[in-house]
Amino acid sequence: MTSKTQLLGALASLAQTLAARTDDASHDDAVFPRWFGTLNACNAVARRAGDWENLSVESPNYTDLFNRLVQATNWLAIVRSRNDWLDALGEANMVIADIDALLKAMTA
Amino acid sequence: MKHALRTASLWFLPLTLAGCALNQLRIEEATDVAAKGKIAVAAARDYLGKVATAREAMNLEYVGLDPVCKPDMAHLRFEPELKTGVEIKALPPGWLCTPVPIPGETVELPLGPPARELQPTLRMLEGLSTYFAAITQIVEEPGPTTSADILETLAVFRSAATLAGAVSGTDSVLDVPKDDDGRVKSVLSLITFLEMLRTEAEKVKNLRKLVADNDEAGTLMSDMRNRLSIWELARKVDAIIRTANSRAMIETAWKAGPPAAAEVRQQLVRNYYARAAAQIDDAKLFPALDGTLEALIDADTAMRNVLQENPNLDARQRTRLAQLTRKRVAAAFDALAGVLIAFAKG
Repeated sequence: MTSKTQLLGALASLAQTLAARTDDASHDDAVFPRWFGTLNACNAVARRAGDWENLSVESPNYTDLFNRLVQATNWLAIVRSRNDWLDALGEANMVIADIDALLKAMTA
Repeated sequence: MKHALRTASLWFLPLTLAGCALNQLRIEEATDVAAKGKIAVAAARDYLGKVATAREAMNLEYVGLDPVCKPDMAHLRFEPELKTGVEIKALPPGWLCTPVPIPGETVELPLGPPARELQPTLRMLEGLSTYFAAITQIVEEPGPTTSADILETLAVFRSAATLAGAVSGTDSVLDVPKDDDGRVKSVLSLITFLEMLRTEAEKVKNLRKLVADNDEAGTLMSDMRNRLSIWELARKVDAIIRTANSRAMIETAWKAGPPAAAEVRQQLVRNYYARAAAQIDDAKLFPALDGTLEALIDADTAMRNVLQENPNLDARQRTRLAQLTRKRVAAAFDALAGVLIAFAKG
């Protein structure tokens, strides 16, 4: 349960960070779609909370994914330049895709 | 006879008072748990209803954004084919979702009915609700009605005495006291007091059995609190994204060429304002609910502690017990004194 709360909290934090950068994202045609996709991908993973009963902090993947998610959130909060933004969004998307795959494997 | 009654009363008093206020405290604590539990269950149900409404609104939005986002399970693009110069409604189908999953490019977005996902949490709430209802039933169970039975019996005796007098031709063959006779009233007061003690002891016995049979209730309450905090995070993400999406729609509408109609622009801004306001308002709900659940868990722990044979009372409980004991001692002396005085006069 704690791991679910932690991971979901980190996803909520990522969504909050992304939402706070709406103005920045919307001024750049290259960043905007990736920003929109990352934001909604956060939701896609976060709302599968009902399937997360088996998620455990004991999983080696969990700690790694959690740390990367926190790192991506922090990075997104501070980066300003277009290239950094794209890199950070790409990083966040990769972590979300990993969490998605991990969840599928754990609940299969 | 009078002397014997006085002597018995003097021995009786300390025996009845010993521990009887503790049972009253136990029942008070149980009443507190039942009341807090009822409030918490109602608040949690109400909150989950709001979670379901928010989730449904978000689902409808995804389905409306792109016809390829299918109900039940959509495959959301990490990088939607979104252009800032084009209104979202003018984007081609498939800009946000794909018909089938693409590894590394899409993520599964469940769009099932929110009610289905909330079922496990709602079932857990039902279980807790039953537990609180059982506590309520025990603490509100009316005690025995011996006092009323005695008055009824006296009425029967009086009728019989009147009838016997009529048959024998005398005024009365038996002097049955009236209901408002001082002796009757004082004895009834004492009986009522003793009945109350017996009823309390019975309630405590039933409460002990209930908490023993529902040993996992405390864990269930903590689990419920945790589960609701997870729903809050999920709701929060839904709310953040709904607001951000509405903001993104404004961006696309403003940059679109030709520009969106005035009504469309106004409606988009209205949506954005409404969602931003709802996001602030709804964020207040969970902290209040969480506080209620925390108070409930504390109350249940306190009740379970005080229900033990020789409880280790905390400072609040010790203070309350002292208050109850003082009141009870006064009530017991009143009841006993009433009997002694009434029979001394007689």
